Amino acid sequence: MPEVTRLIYKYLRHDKKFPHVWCPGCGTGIILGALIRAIDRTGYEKDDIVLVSGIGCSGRMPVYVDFNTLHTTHGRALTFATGIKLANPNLNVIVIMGDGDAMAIGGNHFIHAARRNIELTAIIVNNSIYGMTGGQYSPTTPYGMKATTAPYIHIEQEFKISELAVTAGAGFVGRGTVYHAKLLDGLIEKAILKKGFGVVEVISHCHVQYGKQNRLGSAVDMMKWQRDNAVTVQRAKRMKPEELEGRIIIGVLTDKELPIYQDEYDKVKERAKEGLSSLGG
Amino acid sequence: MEAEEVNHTPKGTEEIAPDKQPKPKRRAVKKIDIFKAWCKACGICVAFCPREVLAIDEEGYPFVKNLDACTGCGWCEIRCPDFAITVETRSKRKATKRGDGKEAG
Repeated sequence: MPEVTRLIYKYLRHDKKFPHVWCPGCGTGIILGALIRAIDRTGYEKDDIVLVSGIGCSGRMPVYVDFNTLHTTHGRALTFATGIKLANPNLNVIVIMGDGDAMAIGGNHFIHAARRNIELTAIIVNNSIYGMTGGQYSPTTPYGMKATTAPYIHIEQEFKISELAVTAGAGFVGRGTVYHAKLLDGLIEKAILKKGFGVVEVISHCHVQYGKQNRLGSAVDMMKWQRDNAVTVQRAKRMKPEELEGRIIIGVLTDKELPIYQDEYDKVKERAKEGLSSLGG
Repeated sequence: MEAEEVNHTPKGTEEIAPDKQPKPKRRAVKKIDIFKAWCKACGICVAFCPREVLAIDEEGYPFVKNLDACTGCGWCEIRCPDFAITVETRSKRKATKRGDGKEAG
């Protein structure tokens, strides 16, 4: 049996839900493929994985997989995930968010989850626009691009998700593109295995909304753009800042050991118990 | 002194005995399956195939044009957003094995 067929039978609800709802050529399907390959490599049981999502195109992802899944409200995927992880620390919680979900409506939750360094994996699908609701600009729409709510160019600067996560204190931050799908497998695997908050930002494409409004071509053209503009972290170190302008740096951006929220919380519980027993005699 | 025998047959046209003919090169790939019920004809597999194995038909769907050229790299099945294409390789090497970040296509 070919490798892909084996993964489809093992992890996807292939007999009920396919073909999926995403547009032809959408990068979200490629990210779903990378996710199931990465989970397969980590060797976790299906019952040990919880996939939490918010609202948006990427929010449809838990519908197609055979893990424990939770489809939550807009922007609050990380808060639900935090609750699951603290209630049952043995579960491996993976959060799928879009750029609007993680940066706009749930922006505050995102920076504080990173600051706490709670053991979650956040996969952020960055397609630079609100695709599902009709192509409104999102916090990651770059300056000078068009959207339905910015017909005469967008005048705000975009959020740099990975750089924000690094600054906010996440233990692991990686960035990939849907074109570099094998690299994405590795990044997601590392983020899942990481003790601490793991962030993987995936540069995806929305050729139906973002591509159409900005005349960027088909899904293939937008993936060629990713191929031509992505620079690995190793190569970026040897390049000058002006050469890196407009480029996407892909690879592991940070991987550091920081105190993990659950461990600290357990210590507090122990301390409280000791205090209680000394009081009670 | 005996004159050396000259072979006037142009090179490459000599007849080869049937038992000495070279065997056709063994294909690296057994078959490529395209599951049309899930395929949405986005064209990603055709555009990024490094050996031009796949092509687009009149309706926009991919078909296998030149299976002999396929190296079994598996990029079409990895990049397919719809899980609609599978590559069955002859060897035990898995096409979707651990990525080292090097990309083809």
